[in-house]
Amino acid sequence: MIKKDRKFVIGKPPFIRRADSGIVNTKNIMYNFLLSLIPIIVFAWYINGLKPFLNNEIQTFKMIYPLAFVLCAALSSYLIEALYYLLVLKEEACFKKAWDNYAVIPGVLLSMILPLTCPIWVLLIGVIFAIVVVKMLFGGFSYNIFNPALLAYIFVMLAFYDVIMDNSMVDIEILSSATPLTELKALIKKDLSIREIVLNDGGLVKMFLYSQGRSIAESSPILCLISYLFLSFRKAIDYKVPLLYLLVIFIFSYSVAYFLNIDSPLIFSLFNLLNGGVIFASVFMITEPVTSPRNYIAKYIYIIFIAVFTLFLRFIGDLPDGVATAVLFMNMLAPSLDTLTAHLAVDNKKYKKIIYLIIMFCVISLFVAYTIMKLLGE
Amino acid sequence: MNLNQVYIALKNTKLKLISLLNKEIRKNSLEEYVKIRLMKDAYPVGYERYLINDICKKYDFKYPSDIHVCVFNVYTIYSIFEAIELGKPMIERMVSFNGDGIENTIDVYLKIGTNLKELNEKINKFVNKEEGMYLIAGGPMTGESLQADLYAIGKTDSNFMFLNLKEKYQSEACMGCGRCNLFCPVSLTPILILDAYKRKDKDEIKKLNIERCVNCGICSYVCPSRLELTSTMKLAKKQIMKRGKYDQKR
Repeated sequence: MIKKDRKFVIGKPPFIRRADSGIVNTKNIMYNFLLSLIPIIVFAWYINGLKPFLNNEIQTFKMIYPLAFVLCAALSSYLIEALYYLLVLKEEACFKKAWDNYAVIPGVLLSMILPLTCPIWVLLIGVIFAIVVVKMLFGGFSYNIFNPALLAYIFVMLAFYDVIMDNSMVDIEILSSATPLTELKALIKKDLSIREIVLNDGGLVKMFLYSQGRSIAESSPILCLISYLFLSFRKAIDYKVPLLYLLVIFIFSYSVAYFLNIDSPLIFSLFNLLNGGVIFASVFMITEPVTSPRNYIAKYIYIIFIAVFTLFLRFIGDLPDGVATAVLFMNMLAPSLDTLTAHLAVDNKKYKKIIYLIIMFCVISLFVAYTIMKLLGE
Repeated sequence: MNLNQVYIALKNTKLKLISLLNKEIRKNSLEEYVKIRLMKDAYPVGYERYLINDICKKYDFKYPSDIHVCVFNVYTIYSIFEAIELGKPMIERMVSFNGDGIENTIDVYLKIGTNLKELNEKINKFVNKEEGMYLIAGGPMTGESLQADLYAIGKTDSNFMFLNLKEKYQSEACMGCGRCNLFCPVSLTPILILDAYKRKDKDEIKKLNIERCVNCGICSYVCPSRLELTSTMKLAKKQIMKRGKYDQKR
């Protein structure tokens, strides 16, 4: 018989956990993630709204639009997920459950990668698609295969392209420069020089600091790098992941520029790094833990292939948005990469890992060689 | 039976012990047979499989006796010495009491079979907090929690811990960070084994090499979502041992 006065609590081992004390638990990781997005949003609002307003170029409504965009997306994604829990899953504590499953994150990310000329009703359609179809229908927080913000971005751009590009919600004069990436094809055919393109845009240093681009994510590479330092210091992301991605992009574009005799391979590689949201995607999209594989070897394969596909789609395909498609393609392959490497990764024999490295190197060089051959032949 | 070599594995921070043992070995001129190996001061270094991997450099075996190796604990060797040289059976041993739930954290030399509750009432006082207390037989990473202290101390119990709970928490869903795979000492992926166990997929559990698990508890320790990975690994091992039936009665 067990007396009631000295009853101890039963638990499962281990009885001490790292998540109990400190910053390395899921809630704090996600909150740090949201916190590190705030400087980018504020800076993009300043460049696209506050500065022209202080120079008396636009009116109050158009000044507030970038901030209102993000806040509207955040609020609507939270409400839509709570409504889904209430109506479809018949869950009574729907608001608490939506907050615990981090419903705000896909909405904020989607509003940061859509162009700022997008009207609010298109954004709402995108948020409904992201939350209901991409996140909840697959099972909720840790069961989604695709990144909700990226898949909703591609859906909205395909379905509403004319409406987004042709809108006068934000003044077209400010955002009228065509993205430098659309001039990439002409560059490779040697009609233009890379130095001229960079100088037209204000120089390399200016491209590094800020760009009055179409969306909030592309507005400032240096703030993304500061967020990267903050997040890796607080152990919310792995610091090796963005470095590996940027390194492979640099090497790929450098070798393509070298073999095609473009006048400055170094500026070409930096140009590819600093445009198109590559740095934003490397810090916030590829390090997303739910959609990437769990094994460490599979993670490295995943990152290398995203880098290869990004540049492959940019140079050979006609897409300026190689990053989104490449990430979504590898998201699809992530679970299979997981199980493949889990069966193979347990051996203590080091020569197997060296063989895999050599195979990866050969595959990447095949891609690079094919790109160069195709571009030389045009 | 002849012994070729005896290795004593010590952590490399215990300098006084190392010099004492070296002196004893030299005094009895046993340097060819008894050697000291220093291990790093990290957590799962004391496990049998890890010690054999590191000291004897052998990796492919199922049981240590396959490669003619025996691994013993210090207290086991001491009890063997007492039994053979002094003719004394094991009737008393040293037990330590730890944790922040009691006032005095002490080591006690007591007879086997002592009642834990009466002993605690005589030599210690509880420091109670609101959330409750764990009573753990063993260490904090691999021990078992007891429901009440009506317990007779056996000959293999070397440590009891009284830990106060910090807060009542719930496991969240897996975030997919991969820390369980990064910190596992034998490079397993506990989260895939957890998923296969939930699906009752025996073939997948066998393919994921679960027999290498040493039950160290590191995967649950580092998990940010507080998943119960270590206890699931034990249950999954049991599941593939049983042929056909899947019975888990609570």
